[in-house]
Amino acid sequence: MVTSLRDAAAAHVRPDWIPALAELVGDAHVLTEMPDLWVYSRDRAPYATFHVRNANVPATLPCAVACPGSVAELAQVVRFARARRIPLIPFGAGSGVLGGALPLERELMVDLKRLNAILELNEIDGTVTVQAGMNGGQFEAALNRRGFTCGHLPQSLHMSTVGGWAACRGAGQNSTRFGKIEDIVVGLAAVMPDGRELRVRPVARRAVGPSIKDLMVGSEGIFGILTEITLRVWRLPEARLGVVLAFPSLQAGLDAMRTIMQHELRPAVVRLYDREESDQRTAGIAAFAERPFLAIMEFSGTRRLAEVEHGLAMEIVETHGGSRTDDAPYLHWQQHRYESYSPKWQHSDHSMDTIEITGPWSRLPAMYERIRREVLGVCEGMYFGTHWSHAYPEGACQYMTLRLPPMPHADTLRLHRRAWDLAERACLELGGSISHHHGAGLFRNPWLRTELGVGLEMLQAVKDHLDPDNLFVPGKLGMRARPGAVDIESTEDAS
Amino acid sequence: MSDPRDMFRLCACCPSPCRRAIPADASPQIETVTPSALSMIALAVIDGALDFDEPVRRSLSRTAAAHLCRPACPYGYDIAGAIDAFVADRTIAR
Repeated sequence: MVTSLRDAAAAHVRPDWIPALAELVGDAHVLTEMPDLWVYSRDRAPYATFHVRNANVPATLPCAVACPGSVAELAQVVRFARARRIPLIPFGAGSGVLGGALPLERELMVDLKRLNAILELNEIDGTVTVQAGMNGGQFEAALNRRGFTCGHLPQSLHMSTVGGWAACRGAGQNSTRFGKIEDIVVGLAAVMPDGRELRVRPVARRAVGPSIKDLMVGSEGIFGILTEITLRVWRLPEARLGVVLAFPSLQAGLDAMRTIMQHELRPAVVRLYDREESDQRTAGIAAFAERPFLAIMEFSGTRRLAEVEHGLAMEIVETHGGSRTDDAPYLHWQQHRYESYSPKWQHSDHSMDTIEITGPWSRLPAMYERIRREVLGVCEGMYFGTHWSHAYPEGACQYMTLRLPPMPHADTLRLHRRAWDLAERACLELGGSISHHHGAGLFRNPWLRTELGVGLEMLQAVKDHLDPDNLFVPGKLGMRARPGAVDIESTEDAS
Repeated sequence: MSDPRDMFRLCACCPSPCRRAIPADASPQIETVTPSALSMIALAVIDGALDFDEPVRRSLSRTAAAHLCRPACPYGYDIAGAIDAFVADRTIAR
């Protein structure tokens, strides 16, 4: 059943251990009042937004919020929670879109935003060490002032934290050149469920067994709480060469992208749009009348390198029937690249979401056609648009936007879930990965087992060892939920 | 946008890119002081899901950080100003 905020507030009982928790971090840094609990009951999962705009709690309220001001305080909070068997969820800026930070059983939220300092910029090694709670936009701005960039520039740059990037295994818009966050992170520190500190020392490569770093990057808090991250940094590029391209067909655009990547070029930005998304960005530009598919690319680095890569890429583009045209779509993209919200559609009660998957080049056209056909069939008035970005020699991210028309709340939840199921099933059946960079959180649980198979049991076994009481972010990333936790799938059915 | 409820509803559902304007050394570093969170609380009051009681009034009165966010709102909203007006209005009405 759906729980209204009023009902949740009426049922809320303040835990009797709050004074003891306040002794660890200070009275001012433990939040227990209803407005705070309401605010921390959601993240940016569209599923949560659909509930919040109807004054419903997405799952449960948290029991309280703790805001430690140091790693030592954080470790104390963790030990405190373990001793009392209090489940907890680390919280950065709450920008995740898969429900990873939604409390399901009145968890204690552990807000990390006070851990927000850059600890060291090592210009010799080309690395920066930063605390997990630092805002992404402030982090990148601080690096820029020193002449560097992290190269990780997600659309959520200004609304996310560095720890969140690593926790959900994110990707920035320049990932084709600089890599995803797992390629950028070289070391980290975390507080484990027993309060001990894990350190992965920041070195370029190692051969000391399977990667512990990769066990933590993307773990979404289930194995421990990231506190400190060391990332690669790069000198700010001397040149950025942006180009707008028009292709005669989607296949021609995909073939050009693939060939560029397989020719060892590394554009900073590669984005190819389907007809739906191209038309929105190219109105009035004559070149798109005959070549209606839009692509944007950017080449960066030293001027000579950028010019060489640009020149080689344009030769490939021409081979596939593409042509360079008006820069306006590139300039518009640059200007709005950190905005992910549409007040227009929100105001008119549409329900928006995005699904990002990874597909091999050989399967992407079939994935696109099937998912597009099936999602558009979910209901009349459904919008479906796609672009391909984050390109690799083997494949690319297919980033799909859906928008349901206004309808009763219960129907929104049901059809939204139906669209997700169609997209994720098709992706799995055609050999893709169900998530490229948003992570799994809560919402992708139903499809994780199919993708990971016995691998999911390996993750559960590690979790059971590290966190025997199942206190860290329970029920997320395909892990076992705690008894009594809200099951959003049954909630949707009952709504 | 003339109706405060419409503005609060849009802001409550926005992913909050303006939050970068809150300095790293500002205190407190919590969600509740962001414009989106203040809007979420105000919206709940308008919709009858939260009473305008002392905890709510206290939360909605912490607008210093939200005022810093105004220039960073991509959509040009003055959420902090609207929250201040909302609190003043509700306080008089009590």
